[in-house]
Amino acid sequence: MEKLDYLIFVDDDPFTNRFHEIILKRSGITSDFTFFQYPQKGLNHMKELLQDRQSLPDYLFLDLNMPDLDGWQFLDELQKEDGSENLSVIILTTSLDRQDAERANAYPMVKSFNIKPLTVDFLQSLIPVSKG
Amino acid sequence: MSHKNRYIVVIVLTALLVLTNQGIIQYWLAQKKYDAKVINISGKQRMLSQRISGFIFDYSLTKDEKIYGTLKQDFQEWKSVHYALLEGNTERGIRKVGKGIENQLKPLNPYITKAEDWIEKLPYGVSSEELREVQVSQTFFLKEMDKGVRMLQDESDRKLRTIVRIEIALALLTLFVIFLEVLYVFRPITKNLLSRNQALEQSNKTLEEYAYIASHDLRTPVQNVINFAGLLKETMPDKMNEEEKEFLGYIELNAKKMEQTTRELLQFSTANRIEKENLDVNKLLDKVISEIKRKTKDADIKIEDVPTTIHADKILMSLLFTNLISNGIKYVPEGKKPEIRISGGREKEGVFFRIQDNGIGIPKEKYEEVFKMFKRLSPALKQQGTGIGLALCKRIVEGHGGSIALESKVNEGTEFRFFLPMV
Repeated sequence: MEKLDYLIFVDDDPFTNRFHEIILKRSGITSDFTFFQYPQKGLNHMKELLQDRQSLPDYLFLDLNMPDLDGWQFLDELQKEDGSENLSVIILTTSLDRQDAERANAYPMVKSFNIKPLTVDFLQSLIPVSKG
Repeated sequence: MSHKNRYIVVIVLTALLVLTNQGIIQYWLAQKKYDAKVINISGKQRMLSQRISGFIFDYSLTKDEKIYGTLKQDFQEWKSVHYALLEGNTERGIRKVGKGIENQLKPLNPYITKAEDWIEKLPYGVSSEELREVQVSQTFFLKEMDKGVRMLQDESDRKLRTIVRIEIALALLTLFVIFLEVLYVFRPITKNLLSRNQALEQSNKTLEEYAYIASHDLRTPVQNVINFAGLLKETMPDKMNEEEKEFLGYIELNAKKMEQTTRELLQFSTANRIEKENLDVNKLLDKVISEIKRKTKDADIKIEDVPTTIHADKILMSLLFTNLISNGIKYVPEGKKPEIRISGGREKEGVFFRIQDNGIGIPKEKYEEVFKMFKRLSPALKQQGTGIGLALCKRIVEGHGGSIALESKVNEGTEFRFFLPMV
């Protein structure tokens, strides 16, 4: 039985996305997820969800180092939207910079700062205790 | 003009000024000495003329031949010095006097010829009028000679005043040259050095940023290789033959090594960002050791007496201890149980730590080399590092203002010792 409703991934690297898809399926926590390789599209999608007051994803997984629109700009844009305080963002990055971690944790919607790769164990740890 | 040429000009100018100054001082000293000599001679002349007139009176009363002899001798001496002063005499070391004194001394010449004749006539008897005339001439003579001595004295003082003026001018000139030196040599050189320093700093920063970006951007593809190689290994074990499995193992192993290198390069490029805080050393070491033991269970790691608190960067200190301890474990020959001892203490101005291992050891000639980037020893060893670990340790310690060194015995073990100042 699936424990989470919907997840969104924003990462410009298609190989990472493919790997995360496999890990996600292995974890079995949900079958409803969307990967955005283009951050702008991911942001537009998120804005639509917030503006239409549709149900939000359980988690938004966000990469930091992306072309055109990086993770920071993404978070800043998102923060301008009403209802963004109800979002739960998980940063997924290869950055080892502690300043990045500090900076990310300053956003209220950021719930966790994680170094890639995503693991089955980590995904399963996201299931709320009541559903587990 | 180039800085080098300006520098040469200023040096030459300064040297010239020093030499001129010295020359003037030497000349002035010699002049002063000579003036003193001439003043002394003139004083003696005055005294002699007094003696001569005294002898004239003595002789006219006593007719003593001895007195006459001395009188003639004194007169000749007086006359000789007088002409030496007027014309110069190298034997006596007397130079011709200046115009002013010459004008003072020259009018005495007719009296000298007259006096000479008079002294020649003296044994044949002189009248009391003639003796009175000598007395009158004597008074005039002495007055003139006094004037002469005073003039010499004045001339010497005048010279001294001129010299002092020249010296003041030279001192001002020296100050001016120093000012030029500061303005056109030292200031541009300092400015140049500063801008070069800035350029170097900028270049260092760029290199660091480059290392950071390069290693950061490499991490995603390398991680992908590790991820997919891992997936392949898990999902395809039955479909691959032994050789294919071996190749896949190499892909995974090398990708992991690349991942480690990029990680350590990233750590190295950011190791200059230090944020100090008070750290509980035992707590920090416990965390580091439990993390290491997760990977190498059989290692025997013991903490002996260590300073309880230090003021340093938490993440960098963890990295430093992790690297030194892992290094000790890594370089233990196969079959030998790794033993690590951590100790330390306080010194007057800081704290020190020792990390001892029972590894293969490092030959003395390689002590310096191990701290250099990408330098690895013992290529035969199965466990290979990236060659960044100890360079990173050195960077962390030096970034904290400390120093790191090692002592080692081949086949017995190595002791790394680092010092951190605590002020």
